[in-house]
Amino acid sequence: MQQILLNALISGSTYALVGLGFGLVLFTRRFFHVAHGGVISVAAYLCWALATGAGLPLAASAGIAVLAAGLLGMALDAGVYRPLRKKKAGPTIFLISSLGILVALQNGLSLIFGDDVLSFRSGRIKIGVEVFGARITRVQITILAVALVTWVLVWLLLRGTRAGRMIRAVGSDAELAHILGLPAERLSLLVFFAASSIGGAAGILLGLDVGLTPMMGFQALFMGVVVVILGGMGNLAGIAPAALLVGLVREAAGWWLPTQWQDTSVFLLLIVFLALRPQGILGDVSWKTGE
Amino acid sequence: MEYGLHLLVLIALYGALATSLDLVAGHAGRITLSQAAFYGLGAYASALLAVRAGWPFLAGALVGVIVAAVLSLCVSIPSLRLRDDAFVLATFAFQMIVFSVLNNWTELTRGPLGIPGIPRPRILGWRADSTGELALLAAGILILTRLVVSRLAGSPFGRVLRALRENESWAQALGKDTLRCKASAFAVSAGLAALAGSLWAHYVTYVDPFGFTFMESVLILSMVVLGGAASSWGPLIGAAMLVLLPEALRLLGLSNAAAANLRQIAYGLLLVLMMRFRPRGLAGRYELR
Repeated sequence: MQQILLNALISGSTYALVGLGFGLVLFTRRFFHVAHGGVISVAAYLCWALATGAGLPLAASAGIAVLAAGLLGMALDAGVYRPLRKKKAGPTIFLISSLGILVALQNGLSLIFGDDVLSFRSGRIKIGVEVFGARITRVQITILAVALVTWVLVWLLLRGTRAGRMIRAVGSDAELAHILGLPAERLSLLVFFAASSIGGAAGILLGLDVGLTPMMGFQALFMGVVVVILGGMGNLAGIAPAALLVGLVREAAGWWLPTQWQDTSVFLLLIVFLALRPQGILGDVSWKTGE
Repeated sequence: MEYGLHLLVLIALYGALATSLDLVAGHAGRITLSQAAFYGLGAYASALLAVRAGWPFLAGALVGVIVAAVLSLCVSIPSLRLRDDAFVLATFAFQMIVFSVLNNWTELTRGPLGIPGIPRPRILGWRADSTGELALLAAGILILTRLVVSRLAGSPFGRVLRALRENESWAQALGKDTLRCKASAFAVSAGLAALAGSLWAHYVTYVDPFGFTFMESVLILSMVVLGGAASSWGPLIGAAMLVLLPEALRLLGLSNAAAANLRQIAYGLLLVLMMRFRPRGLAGRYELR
């Protein structure tokens, strides 16, 4: 029982990180940046390549990869999304463009690294430490720690700093913010940098925990999307409880049903929420993308 | 020659799939990410009925169409009530669920092992054995799909779809039941996709879940995007181009895996470029927004 709860906490933390990155872009720029999944994968593979290929220490590889992810996100915003914004493109165009980037990134990784599962592990498989009657590995402890720290930092950024307030303003009403003279494009780049760095961190942690495949970002992204919707559209705070809920549902499903139904249970949870409580746990019913 | 006929079958079936998607994505203006799921449902329904129960092609296809249409309502009705992005997400979730079920419900579908040994289609005593005959059948399905979609598009129903695409509130103010229209269009689209799936199953004589993934849905969407939405020829043009593109890449003499990756990268970049420079597609009547 404790193991289920602990596993739920750990996987929930990963989903919360992925959801946070995705949600940051969704709530401030109002479209589904599904290419985020590609950024997640790229960061993981870059860290792997640096750590195992080039022999750099893990911390340095991770740091570089997170930074690279942030830069990649900014490049996507500047290179792909900004021209679309100038053309006043609607949410459908953004979604399709983002899909295109996701497909390209994923297959680029597959082309370079192949489709086999890659792993960071060089030594023996570590059993992990016992905590309150359940097992947890060092990587998993790191996941929890990183998730917690990231959440606190983002919270402080958005609530406490001037840049954060401006970001929230742009998210609330981009046109009005622009009229009031807020530097919308620079803020956009900042949002993408932050979101993509967080995503990169999530990807690296995932890679350390379970290994890397080119599809890993997309799979993680789906959980992130579910968590964002369940948490409530327009409200980043809802992501945390939603992530925990999704983690619990997934682990419970894995416990009671044959394990291959874990993901299906989550998808079904999403449909149930969409049908019964579309605004999510903490969300605002009137929130919309695009317009 | 044989290979050329095979390509024709592919173009015909994907043309049917893209045309069916166009009804919802182009005319009603709501893109979906689940076309491959309905395609797969039709294929599996046909496969299971043919292999396990000896049902003939048309009967199995009919069941596939009905299953797809009914399931589409389970997705569309709850989500269309909300807002557009909820619908897209619901179709995404549905796509993932269908793949997961096909891949994991091994007692029924044999999971990743797939279902082999599907007989070639028999219609009233005539058996379509050669690739040429199957190409004829595929063309028949393409023509049927185009007929259904164009008749609907040209009818008052089609006009309501386009009206609600442009401005849903106005359409509602005029008294149109937009939810019912969108759900109906989606159901027809699902049924047509399932029909194409049925023929696919009998053509290849083997189905597995990996032909019906999210990426396949993205591919079908790309065909509509590339060729042009809400148009008579657009989806078919898109289908032809995206079926033939891998063939062109093949001439470069790359390994199979690398070619597959490059092909996908090309699709992805194509989507980005199309959205940036020509959202109308090559021959579209509706510019995606």
